[in-house]
Amino acid sequence: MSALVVVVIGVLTFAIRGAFILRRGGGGDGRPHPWLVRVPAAILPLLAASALSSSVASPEDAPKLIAAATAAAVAWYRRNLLLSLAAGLTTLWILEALL
Amino acid sequence: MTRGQAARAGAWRCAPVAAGAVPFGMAFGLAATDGGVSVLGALGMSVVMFAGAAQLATLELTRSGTPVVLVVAVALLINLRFAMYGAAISPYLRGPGRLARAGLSYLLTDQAFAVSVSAYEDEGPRSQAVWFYVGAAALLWVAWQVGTVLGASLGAFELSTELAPALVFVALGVAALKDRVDALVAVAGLATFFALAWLPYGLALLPAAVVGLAAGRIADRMRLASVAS
Repeated sequence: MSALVVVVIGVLTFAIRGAFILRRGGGGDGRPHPWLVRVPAAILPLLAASALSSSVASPEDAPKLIAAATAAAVAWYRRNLLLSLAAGLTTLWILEALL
Repeated sequence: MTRGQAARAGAWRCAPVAAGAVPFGMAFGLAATDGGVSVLGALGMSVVMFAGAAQLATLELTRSGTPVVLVVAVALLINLRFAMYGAAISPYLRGPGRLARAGLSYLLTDQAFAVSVSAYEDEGPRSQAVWFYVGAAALLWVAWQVGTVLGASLGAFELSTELAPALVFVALGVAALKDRVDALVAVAGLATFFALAWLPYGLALLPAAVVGLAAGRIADRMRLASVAS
């Protein structure tokens, strides 16, 4: 792959990231726009679904779904990312050892 | 709170997420060297682009011989969400001058955004919001580069942590649901995402996010209207 492609994507990605942060005067009015309040709820579950669907391809991948459900349950009751991740990975390793 | 304390607080709050970014970075590093990219090349991609999903998509598309213009377009489409993050977080990052804000922009990621904004929302307006963000975002940057180099150099290393990034996003996604409207936003977005799942390389992400946001906007307006009447 050419380095030029990487640099072009890098520079344009920087422009996207800075589109609001770099505005004269520092961007917004001190409160997030009403549309943008919902951005985390809109995009984060999608990134989860996207990452999951790319690693779950066949019925043998069922342990991964169970691990993800465990991580989701832990995240719901304890908003602790590391605990959630640990619970999910532990579930996966136990299931993989058993099956 | 001093700058240093704020930066350390940000890094501390980001630590679990940064720990999750290491295996994700390793997955990218492994994929890169699998695809014939050198260790230095993989690190270069991680430094210049600093966007995992777009980096993986760039690798995959290039390997399958996709025209360069399309590769760039897809990567930017995936990264467009950073504009939404930037708009949401910019009110908290107004203090510094333009050059410093360029640095803050470069460091903007899913994780830095999620960690910082959720902390700002939980704890109200904080002095030193910028330094809290710097601490969180810089730790994430380091974790990403370390993960990339580890994965790229340990090409033969077998890991069953490939699910880690997905689990991180699951946990972040669940934590993002703070009320019923958020749940509606997520469900509408996910339904759209799976309906468009035939689109390659994460192209379904943006339309799905837009549908979710539109559903949330309608619900928010209806709720406001019913409160007003």
